[in-house]
Amino acid sequence: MANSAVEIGITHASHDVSASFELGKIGMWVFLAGETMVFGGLMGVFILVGISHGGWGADGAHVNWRLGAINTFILYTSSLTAALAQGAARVQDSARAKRYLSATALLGVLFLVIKAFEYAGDYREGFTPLAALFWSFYYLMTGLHVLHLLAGIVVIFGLAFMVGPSTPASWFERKLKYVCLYWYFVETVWVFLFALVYLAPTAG
Amino acid sequence: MTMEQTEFSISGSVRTWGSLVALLLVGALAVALGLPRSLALWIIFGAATAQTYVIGRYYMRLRSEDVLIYTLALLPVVTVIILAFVLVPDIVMHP
Repeated sequence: MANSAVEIGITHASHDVSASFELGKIGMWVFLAGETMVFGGLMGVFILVGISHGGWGADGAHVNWRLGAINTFILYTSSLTAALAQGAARVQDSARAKRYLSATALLGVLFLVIKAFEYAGDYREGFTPLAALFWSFYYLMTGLHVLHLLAGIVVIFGLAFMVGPSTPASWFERKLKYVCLYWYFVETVWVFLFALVYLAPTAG
Repeated sequence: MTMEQTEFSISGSVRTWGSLVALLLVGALAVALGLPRSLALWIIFGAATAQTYVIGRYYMRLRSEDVLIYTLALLPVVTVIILAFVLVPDIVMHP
């Protein structure tokens, strides 16, 4: 009962009184701020070490930026289906939202499959994490991103599984908003990883 | 329809997706065409920044958020940039 009262209170706060005091959303943004520091710190050090070494030279030229571009396209499409799921949830069409949500997670899985092929190819050619400093950074940053993506896929599948005909629409819409916020963040991190690790070292 | 309802309309979401794909192509073409390195880097990071802006504004809905959320989104970015500049003497000047 107490939980329901809190839920109702938060729902009213988000829709009627003031969206600024939606606790779950603020909590998610605080979490994302911490994540930004983690990825931003790594990328900052990657840039500085690259400058101090006069660029990444031949090591950086071996990354497969075409596979990276395909994965970026897949991630963008997964964000489109996530946004469409939010749109469907907003008009209280839970069945359609679940379909879009499942498509989002499946596209995330496709991203991971392509990434696995890419890692396998790099390994076969001898580009292991200890091969050079560039590859240490490459595996650390992309590996951390893969872990975040994996967590997102699990949560998205979990949410899609939990939603049923009796699930309150406002509850689903709110949880979906937090999950999608995380998914868009993971996508944003990839945008800069793709530019830094794939495109910049192979440019020129 | 309220603003919140139109934000995730099918046409709006597809438009956002289209602009992201177009920006992705811009960055990829800068490498594929073999442009001079400095010009290519400007294009790559310009396109990446524009993509981040599009995702933040339209998917993360920052355009309809208040100052608290903007602070939470921008503060870590600014902090990381400051920390990176603080580290420049240690990493870049003494490799």
